[in-house]
Amino acid sequence: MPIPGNKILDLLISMALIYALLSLLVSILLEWWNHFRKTRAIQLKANIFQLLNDSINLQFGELFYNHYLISGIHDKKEKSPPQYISSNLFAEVLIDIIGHRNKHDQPVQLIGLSLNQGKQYKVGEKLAASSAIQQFKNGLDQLKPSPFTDTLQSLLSKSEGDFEKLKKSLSSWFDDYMDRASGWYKAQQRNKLYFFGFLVAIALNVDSLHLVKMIALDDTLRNNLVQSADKMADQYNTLSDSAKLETDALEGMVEKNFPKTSLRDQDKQLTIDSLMNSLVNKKDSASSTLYKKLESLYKADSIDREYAHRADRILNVATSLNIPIGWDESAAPLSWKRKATSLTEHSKKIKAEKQNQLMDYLDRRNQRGFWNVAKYLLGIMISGFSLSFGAPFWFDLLMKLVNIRRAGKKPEATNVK
Amino acid sequence: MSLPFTNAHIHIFNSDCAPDRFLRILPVPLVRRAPGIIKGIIDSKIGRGIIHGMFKAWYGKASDKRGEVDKYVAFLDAGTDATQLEVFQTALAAGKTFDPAIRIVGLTLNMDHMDSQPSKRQISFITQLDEIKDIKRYYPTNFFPFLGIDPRQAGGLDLVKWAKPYFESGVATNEGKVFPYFSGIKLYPALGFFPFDPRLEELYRYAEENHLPVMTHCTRVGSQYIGDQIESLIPDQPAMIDMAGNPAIATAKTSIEKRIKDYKDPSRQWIKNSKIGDNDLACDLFGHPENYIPILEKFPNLRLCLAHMGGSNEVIKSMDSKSKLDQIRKVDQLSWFEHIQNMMRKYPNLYTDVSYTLSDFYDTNGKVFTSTFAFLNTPVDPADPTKGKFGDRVLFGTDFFMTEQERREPELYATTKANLSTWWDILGRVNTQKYLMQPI
Repeated sequence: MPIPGNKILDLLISMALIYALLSLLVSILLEWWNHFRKTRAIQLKANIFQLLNDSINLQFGELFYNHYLISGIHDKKEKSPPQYISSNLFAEVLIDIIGHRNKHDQPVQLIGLSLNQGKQYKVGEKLAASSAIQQFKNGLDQLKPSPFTDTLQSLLSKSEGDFEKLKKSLSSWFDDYMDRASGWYKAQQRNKLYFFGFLVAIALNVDSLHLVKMIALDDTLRNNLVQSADKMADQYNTLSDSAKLETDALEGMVEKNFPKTSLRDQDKQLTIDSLMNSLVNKKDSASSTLYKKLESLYKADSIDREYAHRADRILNVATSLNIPIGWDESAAPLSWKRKATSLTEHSKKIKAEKQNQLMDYLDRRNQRGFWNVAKYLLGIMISGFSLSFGAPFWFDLLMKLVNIRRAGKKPEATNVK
Repeated sequence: MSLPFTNAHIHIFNSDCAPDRFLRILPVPLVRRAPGIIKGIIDSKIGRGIIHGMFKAWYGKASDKRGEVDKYVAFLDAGTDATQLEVFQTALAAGKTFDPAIRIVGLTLNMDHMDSQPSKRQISFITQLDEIKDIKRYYPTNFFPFLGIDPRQAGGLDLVKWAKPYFESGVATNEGKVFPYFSGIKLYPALGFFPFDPRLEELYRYAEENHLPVMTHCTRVGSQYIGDQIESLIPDQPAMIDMAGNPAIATAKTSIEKRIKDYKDPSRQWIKNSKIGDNDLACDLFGHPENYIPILEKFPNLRLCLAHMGGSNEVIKSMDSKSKLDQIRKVDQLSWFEHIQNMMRKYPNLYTDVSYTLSDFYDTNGKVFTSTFAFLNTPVDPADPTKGKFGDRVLFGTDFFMTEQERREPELYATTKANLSTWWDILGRVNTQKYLMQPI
């Protein structure tokens, strides 16, 4: 049976749900920022430069990124490097770079000179390499010994002259390195999560101490949050372990529980689509120009707009749950600008339906005073810190709490039987 | 057979090739104090956009400065976002509108020794050269790179041994024409060395024997050594390529040492170690035209080009208290343009080019163009018409992408073609082929 009056568990579930939702918002903002700054692509480039750095010979990272197979997948419009390079492509390009140096260099000899014809050269003799692996070996032999060339020599000798084996060894080397690099990347992202956690806490006025108090005092709010968390738990359990760590999957789960919040976006989408559809069927040049402009604008910011919609959806969910966050002149800290008397009247007016205890709390909080300011700042700091844990952490905790709460329900169900 | 048109002077290095503190070349104290931060801002498109917007807002709509800002941003765009290949392709596209078979000389710069402090983000010179070799393979009949040389990387026969593979390996076209990867040697003494450095002697000998032309930067300003130990690079009596009993070298040596003494004079303090790389005046000592007299005396068949005709300021002998030019002219009275003319009279294999200076042809009331045009038409020796005119040893070059801050590349071609009349083809086809001697 449910633990009657176990407000603490309900309070914890409610807080976990709020943190989970707002952490999703933090994750979306972080992804947006990374997209805007091309962080993933820049980080990948830095990692490959480091992997291929040979201070004794050449900076092969530079040559790698200028190779036609890599420069071909650059984002030409944004002039940014690729966000992802497969280990197979890495191996092929590296083999090509090393072998290529030997392949194209041809000895030339000056054989004549005249003012009209200029200098005349002929190509000297050169032993042609028979295979790609031989070219790779010859290219490597031309380089001075270095830790980088030693690594390649080692991988080459283990491949026993087999091109596929060499490619596989280089791919594994790349994958192993990228696994480590992924850890470095996550560590970097952790610092950014702190920043965006605090940004969301401040921007949305998320005072954790206030939230705890409100949830504890407002039964309607608490029950509403607990019910929402309960609904989400079933779907969460259907997600795979890897999906539980992905923002997209968690967002999808939230959206299924709050379908109305995404309706507005669909309407917008339909409006733009229908306008473009109407233009594309018209043959006149003005319509055609307008269509092209619309299409370019639509495509140009489609990714940014998608991030905006995703953030908007989470905010809509938070609004639909009546979570007491956001900036309002009737709530702290903006309320501190008002005089105490008028504030009380105002507060009474808008909170008339609430219980006395809640009224008293709101009244006290809305008064300017040292302790209120100190508690507010502490509340914001707790929020910022908590939101930086990331959505997967909070959803996981939320579901564990929901399961504990459900554990108490089983006996009741048995009784009904 | 008509000769292809040649632009004998462009740069295609990008910001990756430059040291982290490269922006110290700009004579702006704030930039010199925080060059890394400002380079970081400029390297990003957003950063350049913000700077662009701020300048536009600052100067207002009506100001001509807005156009200047646009051009400066274009210059930054050219060198920051693009790869070396893309920079070359931009220059090639501009040149092809004037001659589809255009030849372009790309000058590489060894910037590995430009700063006294190592750079974290700079690609090494040999990596830069590997990229250049690829561009030569892609455009064997259009691209003619010169190998940047700095005696601080190696000296004597070691330097020749290092350089040889770049001149003695190359590519064959499908039509059977064979081109070496590199077509000549580029010197940029302002980066911190003297061109008469004895460590370069063997390389000059190799260049003379193999008919390799040498291009050198020759203005009082430009990219320069940005480290904080300039005094260590300029001894009172620097070692010099020498020939026993050669009076011209002896005279040049006396003049060079006197100039160093004058510049180091404690009352002037034009040469002193600077923590922020204020080494502008050292360019005068490293790149002075007289520095090439020992080389021209010892290697008379070496084809050498003192680029830019000494620079616009020297062509019109302008005075500028801000750059101390008025004071400098008191200790170094002959302008560099006059020096170059005097030297061209004496040394038949000495060339100059109009690169960068041509962007000033229509500024300063047309004085630069008038002086240049008169120079082209002046006989080298009025008493001996067989020596021709100075214009017979002047090359066409633009100095792309440095000139993007002055005028756009197609504009430079168009206005120069329109105004040089018959000299256009002589500078761009005849003289450049005589100098380059690459297969036709």
